[in-house]
Amino acid sequence: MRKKIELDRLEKMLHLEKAQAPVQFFDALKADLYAVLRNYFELAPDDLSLECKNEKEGCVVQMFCKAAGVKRLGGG
Amino acid sequence: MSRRIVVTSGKGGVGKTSVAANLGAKLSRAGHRVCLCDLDIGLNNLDVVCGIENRIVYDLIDVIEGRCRLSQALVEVDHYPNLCVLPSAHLQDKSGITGQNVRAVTDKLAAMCDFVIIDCPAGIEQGFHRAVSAAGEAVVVTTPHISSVRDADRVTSLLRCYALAGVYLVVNRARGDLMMSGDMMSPEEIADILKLPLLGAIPEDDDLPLSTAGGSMVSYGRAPDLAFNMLADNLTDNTGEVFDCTARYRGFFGAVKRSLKRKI
Ligand SMILES: Nc1ncnc2c1ncn2[C@@H]1O[C@H](COP(=O)(O)OP(=O)(O)O)[C@@H](O)[C@H]1O
Ligand SMILES: [Mg+2]
Repeated sequence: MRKKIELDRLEKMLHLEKAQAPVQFFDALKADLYAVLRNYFELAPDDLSLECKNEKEGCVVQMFCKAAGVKRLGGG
Repeated sequence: MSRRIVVTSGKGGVGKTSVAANLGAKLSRAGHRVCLCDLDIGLNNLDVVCGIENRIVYDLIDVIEGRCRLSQALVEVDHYPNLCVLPSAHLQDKSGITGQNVRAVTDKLAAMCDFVIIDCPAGIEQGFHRAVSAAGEAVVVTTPHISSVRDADRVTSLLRCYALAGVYLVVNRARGDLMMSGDMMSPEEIADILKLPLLGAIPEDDDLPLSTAGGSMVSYGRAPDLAFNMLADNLTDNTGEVFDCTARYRGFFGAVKRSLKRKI
């Protein structure tokens, strides 16, 4: 059935595009995550990177963060 | 309160202008005051589809640049007392026309009408932005073909950036015979993929290009006529009813029609 093939192709294509296309979305997410993490770690914006992969079950988002150290909280 | 609806698609040639014109015609027949606003600047066709191309004196650009009043530029469509068109121009340099300019014009139109239907250019560039920022709701038109649905998906993602009150789907050129044989996606399946509410389905029909080529809307009583009626009703009254493109291919005579269609 041609329809079945078309539906499958379309679903894969749109799924993939959602993962790759919205660069602004990832930039915004990265900025938010950076704002939270720098409260706890010594890190620069470039120390953070995000990767998104589409698996059958859904979207897997992986974050890599290489901090220079844990932030010393409090005055002591 | 009046509604401003942009008819958009991403891909060209899927039937935006035909849907905008016929939807406007149906709404006007139902007693609403409707203005069709052609924002496909440069590749405008709404005038031809509505059969008003010989009666245009002023256009959208004249209104924006202050050469005439808005009411002077509006052209009434024959046989549709509540329907008028704001024509656009064959302009090469469109850089002077901003979203704000256009918005100001549609604001004025909205004060005069119940519905402002905006015909959007193909693509997702400046012209798209101009048309969408002048609207409050959007109708995404797609055909049941994979490339058209893909473009509709891109457009739908972009539309989320605008504060629109509603985004709906119209599937045009649906072929009931191919849907029955499992060779074409159904409007419902496409709506499901795009995650948009299905506002209407318009069948593929030779009458549509023939009537619009003659500068008139679809002929009374034909399949697209019924489909556009249902589309207009769904838009105004949320009937939830969508034209069934497969109905005429069901049963014994339907099977005969299908096999004949395959042979031609
Ligand atoms: N449901 C339909 N059945 C048959 N032909 C159609 C249908 N809808 C549109 N067309 C034809 O397709 C062509 C492109 O339609 P148009 O409305 O100009 O598309 P767009 O504005 O998206 O470029 C026209 O020739 C039109 O008559
Ligand atoms: Mg058009």
